[in-house]
Amino acid sequence: MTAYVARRAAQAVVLLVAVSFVSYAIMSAAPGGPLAVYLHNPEVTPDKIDLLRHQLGLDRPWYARYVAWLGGLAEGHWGYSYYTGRPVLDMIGERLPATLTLMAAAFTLALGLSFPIGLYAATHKYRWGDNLLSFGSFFAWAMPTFWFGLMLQLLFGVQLRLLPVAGMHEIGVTSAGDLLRHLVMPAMVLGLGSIASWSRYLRSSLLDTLNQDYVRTAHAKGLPDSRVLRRHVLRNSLMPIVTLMGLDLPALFSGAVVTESIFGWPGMGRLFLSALNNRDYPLQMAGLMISAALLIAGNLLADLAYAALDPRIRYQ
Amino acid sequence: MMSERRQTGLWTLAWSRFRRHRMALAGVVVLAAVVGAVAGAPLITHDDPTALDPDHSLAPPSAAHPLGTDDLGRDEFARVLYGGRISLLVGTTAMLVGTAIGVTLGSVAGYMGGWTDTAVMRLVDLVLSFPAIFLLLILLNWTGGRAPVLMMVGYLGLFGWTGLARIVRAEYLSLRSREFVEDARAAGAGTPRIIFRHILPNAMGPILVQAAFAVAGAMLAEAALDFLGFGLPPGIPTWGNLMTQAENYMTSNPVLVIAPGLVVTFTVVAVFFIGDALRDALDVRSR
Repeated sequence: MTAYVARRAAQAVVLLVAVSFVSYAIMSAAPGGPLAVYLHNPEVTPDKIDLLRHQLGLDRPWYARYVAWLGGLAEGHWGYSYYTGRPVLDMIGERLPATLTLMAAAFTLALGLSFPIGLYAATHKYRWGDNLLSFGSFFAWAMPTFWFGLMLQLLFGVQLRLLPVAGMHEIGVTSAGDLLRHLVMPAMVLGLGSIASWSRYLRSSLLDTLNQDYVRTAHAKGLPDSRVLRRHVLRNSLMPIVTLMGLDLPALFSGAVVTESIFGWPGMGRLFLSALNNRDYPLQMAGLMISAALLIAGNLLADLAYAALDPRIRYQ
Repeated sequence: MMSERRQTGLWTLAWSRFRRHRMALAGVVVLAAVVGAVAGAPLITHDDPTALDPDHSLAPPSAAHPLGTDDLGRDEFARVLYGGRISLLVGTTAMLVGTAIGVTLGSVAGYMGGWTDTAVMRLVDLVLSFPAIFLLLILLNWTGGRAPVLMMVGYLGLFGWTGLARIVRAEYLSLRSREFVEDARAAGAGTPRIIFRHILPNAMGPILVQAAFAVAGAMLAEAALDFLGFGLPPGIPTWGNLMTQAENYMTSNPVLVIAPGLVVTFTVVAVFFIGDALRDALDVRSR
């Protein structure tokens, strides 16, 4: 198993470097480049542009810049923002907590809702409640995420005036209650897809388990239904859904780009969008690398979990 | 003659199973209505989706304007209908691009095996390791954050083929050693002919199912990109652009944002139900 883990971890690192290389090449190949905004500005003389180009290292070919960037990253230096001149790591440090808070809230909400929903659906198979829930999950997947967000704003923010429409805090207020009120709608929007897929997955996983012989045996022994459900069914249905939850983490990070834009949430997603508009290459790469690392680590952990459960996989 | 009759039998059987899914039949009706209304837009409304009428901006729904007018006085109903042309077109063509790539690579990998298979599957792993939205946004930033329709179709297709490639490869792995393939090979059929003429028709089930979901996925992705300001140019009335532009007038004229969203949701739900029933009708192994 150790050899397998080492091999897969090494593969993951190679994959991450490959992703960074291709992305850097695509980003650098964009016509115009970071200095295009200054070209039509009469205040900025060609001399100044050349100086700026040299200062940012843009006079070197892109692969030389890539090697320098990757070398720096290996030592923990994320570079300096082209736009603000500040260390990228500082800028991420200011924004990442907001995104992580949002992701954690969405994850908790999905966890809290998908289990009761999945359990109810599985124990009421093909009754009207189950049918309604399966209908609802199709709608959850079909709605454009941002439209769902706008509808929540319209209903709870504008019509009912129950929740704040945007932002993370009221100005000058830092209480937990205020944060929670601001979190409700963004977390719901970000978590909706996970609620739908986890509860559907849990339902089918539970239905598989409910048909197992050992469940019939447990019932035959005269154990109460609730105990059979908790100890025999739920426990054995958990492993596949735990993997699914891990694989959803990068999706939550990606989804945050849209969610943060709807609700003016001051996180990584909006930082990345502004980095795009400013052609701020180091900051763009930072956002991309964090999400790629999440994605690759998630896939790796899922594979390792399968391998731990099924020894045959290790020897492939 | 024999094979002809067996073919009909397969599709008749599939239809009889498909018919059992009432929601999928409703989905077919909804989708046909949407496609019909969008394609026949000039027959349904006489309004020009781009005709400005600043004196009647942000009008509420009325007999003249069933869904009201937007901030520039343009008829929202006409914009939803004509906008659907672009949204459905982008969704469908992006699916076709993705399907073409996925079927070609998946079938060749599955049939040839060996290093071809390894190379294609490594490529799939690589593409799946890219955080799609982030790379897509970087690509779209090439053209200043807005992409012409064809470019958008190409980008969405480039990110939408990996799942299909894996599925098609698995189908080919199991089909390539069947008797009809041996027969074809013995009869002297070349490799491309075996891959595309003999095996492909037998792998159509999973491809069709996957294609249905790919249309829905591409439509939703395009709408989300419109919202982020990285979609199609704002002058093109796509469903995504309509909702995005209506965001500023959500309090004064909420129907502008509600209506296109409902149309998208019901269209995509219809496609989902159809895809789901197809999976059952064509006996695609679900995983």
